[in-house]
Amino acid sequence: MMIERKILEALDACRPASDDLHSADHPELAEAAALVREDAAVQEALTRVQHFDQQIGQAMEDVDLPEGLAARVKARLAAVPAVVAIQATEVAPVEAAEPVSLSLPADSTRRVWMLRAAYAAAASVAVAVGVWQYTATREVQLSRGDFRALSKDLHTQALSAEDWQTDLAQAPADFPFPKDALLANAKRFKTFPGDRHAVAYDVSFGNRKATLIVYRGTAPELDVVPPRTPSFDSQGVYQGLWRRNGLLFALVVEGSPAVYRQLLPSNQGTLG
Amino acid sequence: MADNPLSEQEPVDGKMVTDQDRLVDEHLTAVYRYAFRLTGKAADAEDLTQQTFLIAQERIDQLRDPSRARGWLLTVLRRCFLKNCRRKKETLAGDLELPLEHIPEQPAGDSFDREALQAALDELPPEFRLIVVMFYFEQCSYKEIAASQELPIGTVMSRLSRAKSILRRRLFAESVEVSSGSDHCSVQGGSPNGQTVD
Repeated sequence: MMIERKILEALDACRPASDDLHSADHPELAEAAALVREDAAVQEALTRVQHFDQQIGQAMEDVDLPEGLAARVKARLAAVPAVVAIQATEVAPVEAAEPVSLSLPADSTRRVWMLRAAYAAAASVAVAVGVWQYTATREVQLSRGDFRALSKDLHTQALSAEDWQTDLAQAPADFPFPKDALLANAKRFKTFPGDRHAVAYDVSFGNRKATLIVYRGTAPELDVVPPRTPSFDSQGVYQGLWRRNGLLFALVVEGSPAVYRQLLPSNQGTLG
Repeated sequence: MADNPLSEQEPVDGKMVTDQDRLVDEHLTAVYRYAFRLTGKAADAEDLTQQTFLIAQERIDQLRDPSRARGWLLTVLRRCFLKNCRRKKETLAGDLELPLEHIPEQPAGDSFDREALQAALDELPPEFRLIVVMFYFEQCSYKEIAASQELPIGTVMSRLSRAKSILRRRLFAESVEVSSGSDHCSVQGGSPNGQTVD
């Protein structure tokens, strides 16, 4: 049996268990509907397509969730409350459920401006009430995945910020740059006010963007030296995570594993 | 949702529960499954899920009707996925020059193997995969897909049919025969008694 491709396209366009084929809302399917009534072969093709669709539809949702996913998502959401609180009041509402844009902080001029404002405002408040002193001494326990997500987020936000400080002598002494673990030199640093307990050091070189994130917390899964093999994601961000002396460190590099390794001493451990 | 979408709600077991937590609790499963079918990898699906909820948290004031939260989240997810794909410069749709397909009369077994289905989905370029997932997972009509993706209806119908043809060929590879020609499709398949229906 042979049917025209456009008829098969019409049959394939009918949703499983729907009346799309005979609906007045779908005039594009009218010709196929007529053929289904007149031609047993086309009727047979429709039956097969629908059977196939039914099985695919059922199988489509057969996916197991990773253990601990909900906790990791919530932890990451909880890590960015200050920025969100300010932005949520300033983004103009739109039609019911259609987001206007999906840019992450680094991608939007408006959002960069808002981030600057958010950080500046939060920093002022923190200094005024001594929040920094409190939060900087509070430890948080994270999983490897939590810290990976958090450090990437901090890396992204740090690179888009403009409140870097170049006088490294002013860097918080309790968030030290780990000179012994890296070949890289820090060019500048940035603190994250509010509830973030973190400092970012800019270790970019050439046109390679890289940050060293220091975070006050614990992550028992991590080793005490940077891994030679970084983790990576689909956006080309490579991360090496380690812990030492009550601090967590993340070397976050955009580019390739080779770029990441250029920042490590050659005799560094081979974990990871 | 509350008037202030970021407000904390009543404590549960002594812990404050935010609307974000509730959004995660109610829709994480659907978001992750959708992400997994689009990306094909658990790690990428988790990244995409995280990204979706982060953006949702930032834009939650745009969600005025809580009953539409699922669809709104999936819209966010789709846009993140396509944005990520553009970054990766993945395979383009131009690779989809399909041989004509056959439609099995009786698919093997009562259900598909989940890994086989994912492998078949992974063969599709992202733009095609997205349409397929919208069709099956969200049960969107071709018109809704066209509107959402800002594509002509004919393009959506063509892409959907071609994508489904790839799935059929991949999932029923053993029973598929390829015929030639460009304007006609041969609809064949093994019948329960082993005969071929032409």
